[in-house]
Amino acid sequence: MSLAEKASETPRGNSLYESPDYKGVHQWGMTIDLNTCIGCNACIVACQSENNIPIVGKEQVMLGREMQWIRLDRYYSDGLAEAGAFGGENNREIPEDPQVSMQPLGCMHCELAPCETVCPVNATVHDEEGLNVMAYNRCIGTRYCANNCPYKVRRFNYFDWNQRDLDKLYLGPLGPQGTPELVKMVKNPEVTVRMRGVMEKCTYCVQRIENGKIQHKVKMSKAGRPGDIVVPDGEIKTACQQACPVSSIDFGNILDPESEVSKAKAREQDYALLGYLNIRPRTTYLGKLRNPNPRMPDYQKKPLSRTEYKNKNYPPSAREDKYGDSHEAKHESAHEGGHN
Amino acid sequence: MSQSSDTTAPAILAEVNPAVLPRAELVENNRDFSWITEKICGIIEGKTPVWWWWCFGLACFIASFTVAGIAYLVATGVGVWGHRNPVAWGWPIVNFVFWIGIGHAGTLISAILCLLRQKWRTSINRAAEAMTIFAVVCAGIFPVFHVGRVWYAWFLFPIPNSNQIWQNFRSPLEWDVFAVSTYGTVSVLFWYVGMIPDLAVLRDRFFNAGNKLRSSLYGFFAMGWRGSNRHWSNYEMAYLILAGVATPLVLSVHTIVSFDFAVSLIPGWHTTIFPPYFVAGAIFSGFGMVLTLMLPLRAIFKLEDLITQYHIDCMCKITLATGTMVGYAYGMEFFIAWYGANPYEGFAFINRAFGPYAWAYWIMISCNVITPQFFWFKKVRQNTSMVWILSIFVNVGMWFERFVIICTSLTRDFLPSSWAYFSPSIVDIFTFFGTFGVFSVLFLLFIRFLPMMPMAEIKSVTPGADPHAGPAHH
Repeated sequence: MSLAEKASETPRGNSLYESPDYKGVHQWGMTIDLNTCIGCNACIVACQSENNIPIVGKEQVMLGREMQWIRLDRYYSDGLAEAGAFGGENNREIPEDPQVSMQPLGCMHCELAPCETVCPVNATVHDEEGLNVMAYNRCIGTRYCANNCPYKVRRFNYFDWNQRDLDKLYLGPLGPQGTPELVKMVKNPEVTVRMRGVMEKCTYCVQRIENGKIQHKVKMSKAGRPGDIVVPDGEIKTACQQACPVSSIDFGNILDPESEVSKAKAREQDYALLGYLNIRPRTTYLGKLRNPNPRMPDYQKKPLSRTEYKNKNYPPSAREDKYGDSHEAKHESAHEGGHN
Repeated sequence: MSQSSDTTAPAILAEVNPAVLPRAELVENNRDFSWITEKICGIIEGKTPVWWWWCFGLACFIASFTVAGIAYLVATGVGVWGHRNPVAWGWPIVNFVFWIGIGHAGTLISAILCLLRQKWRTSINRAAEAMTIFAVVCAGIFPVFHVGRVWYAWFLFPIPNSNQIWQNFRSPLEWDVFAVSTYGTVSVLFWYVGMIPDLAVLRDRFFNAGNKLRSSLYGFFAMGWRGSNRHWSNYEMAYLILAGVATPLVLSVHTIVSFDFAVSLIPGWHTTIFPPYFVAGAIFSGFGMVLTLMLPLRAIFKLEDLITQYHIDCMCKITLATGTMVGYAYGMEFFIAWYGANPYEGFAFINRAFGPYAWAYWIMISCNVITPQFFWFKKVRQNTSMVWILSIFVNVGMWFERFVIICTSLTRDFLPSSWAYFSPSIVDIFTFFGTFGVFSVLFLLFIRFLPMMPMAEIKSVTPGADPHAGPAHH
């Protein structure tokens, strides 16, 4: 079954609950290629400026109130099988020579979104194009959705970040109120500025989607084809996608089998994070390949580790000349030669 | 069996002489009706004791912490509490479940024990019902104020509105709204209806004493009770119906509260054992609180003849039974986590017992599993101070149970990248501490102005009320 059919035809995970029928002409989806991601954080910054995400200050970040809609998860491992993913004996601290895995993570726009069933006031719901949308005006801030999100991508406005001085958050109404003119000018006029007490999260840049749809509709009307409302692939880009220097992020219509995102999702590498929960996330990942073939010329016993980085960028021979670091160089060349 | 002249003895006894099992008397020292009336009304009619004023002042002071904490919260934002990213529910929901659990003993005593004709309920049911209502009041503070925009909390109620958005009836939190408000309403009704004959007694006594104001106030709430046959008949029927209505509520409220967790998908929350386990825990904590409150009252007001050793024994045994059920549930959770072979759930439980919150877990185990086991011993049950101390441990343990469930599960769920450690803020601590003041203020007003025990019902279980009273004979 093609992904396009899967998205529109399959009963929603056989859930008892009624789900949207996803009859929209677009079905939005995203893939993130973990092989090309270099962990540069550009997506986070782009998202922050595009979506009027408040700056909370380092004190609040230390308290765990960061607001970023997309975050970059980093996992360190020493590549040993027995390290275990669940806090096993060898997974307690950052290893000496860590392999780093990075994973950008925003709202997955699950088709069977666990956040939606638990919101008592229907403030987070699905639209027919597969977006999990927030009705900020309806949100009363029970935060149940954030608890029930297995990816923990929902962000809560613990204070009135936009109205209060970050140094005087705890003064509440006794502190000065209002946003300085200069800060107001930073805001994207197409995106809401959220008040305190509401939940927010990645929208797949719904404002860009809507703009793209409208512009396409206008263009087609002028061209005498008013019925042609399907936006061609690539016309709508999310902020994170646009900012990504290595094009790790693909976004588009998964109903169109020719779209970049559909092609990416069709690859065998494609996987859904925590897919076993049957929540059917619309964002999927292209799994990281670690070149495990020992016959390949650039094979590394510990790919993506500090050792590999050093060996590649400062080959042992060059290093010996440069730093006179003969001991380490000997050790590592022996290491490299030893595994064939 | 034929009669025979054989020398062998008959196979059955010629006469059956069952041992006379002494039944514990529910009112000791053969107290008569007038003594009971004088005793219970005397508490209300007498001069306000000095200790009451001291306690009331202290309770008001402590209650002000909650008022101040909530005012600061509403003015400033939820950030004044300790909540952080993976832990969107912290202390307020712990406190909500803690208080609502305490509220369960009252209805259990009034409704279920009434239907089961457990006569020992009579001397403790009024105070236990009052405790229920005040506990629900304290519980209700938290879910209302923990929301981000409390001024829109009315969105939770299905009121027709111009937004054209209806509530989400799939959300356990929405079920909670109905469960808790129904429970509060029925508990108040039950408490009030049961009190009508006693209010009429107070009305008459204050009238005779010439206190017109108090007489008319009690008279207003006694709704013209004259004690006629017809009144009693209607009253008994109303009380029975309310007992029938309240009985399923004892089970349903905490079941639905447990759904807040069980219906979610967080490892450590997503467990089918939660409804029975929460109900057992609620009754356990409720009886713990009844003992904590009743034992000092019994000593202060010299109520040993009405709250007898037998009553304390019964309450201890219920605490022991429900505490053991809770202990069984703790064990079963671990078994299922292993048997279910879901690595996330397995981790959640190992993390509970040996992770960063192990201290809280072992406080919970010692207070909830080990403490009630002392009630196997009659010596312990008969030692009032010992019972009171153990009941405090039960209360502490049940608060920690909710803390362990909510916080350990949320701090470490699916993606290790989001793991964190939750610590409450000072506002969290003071707001919770203050609810004990709120509770005490209400309870002190109750013992001062309302009959603490149902006089009419106690009279019906005195030895003197038994038509077969007198020396035992068969």
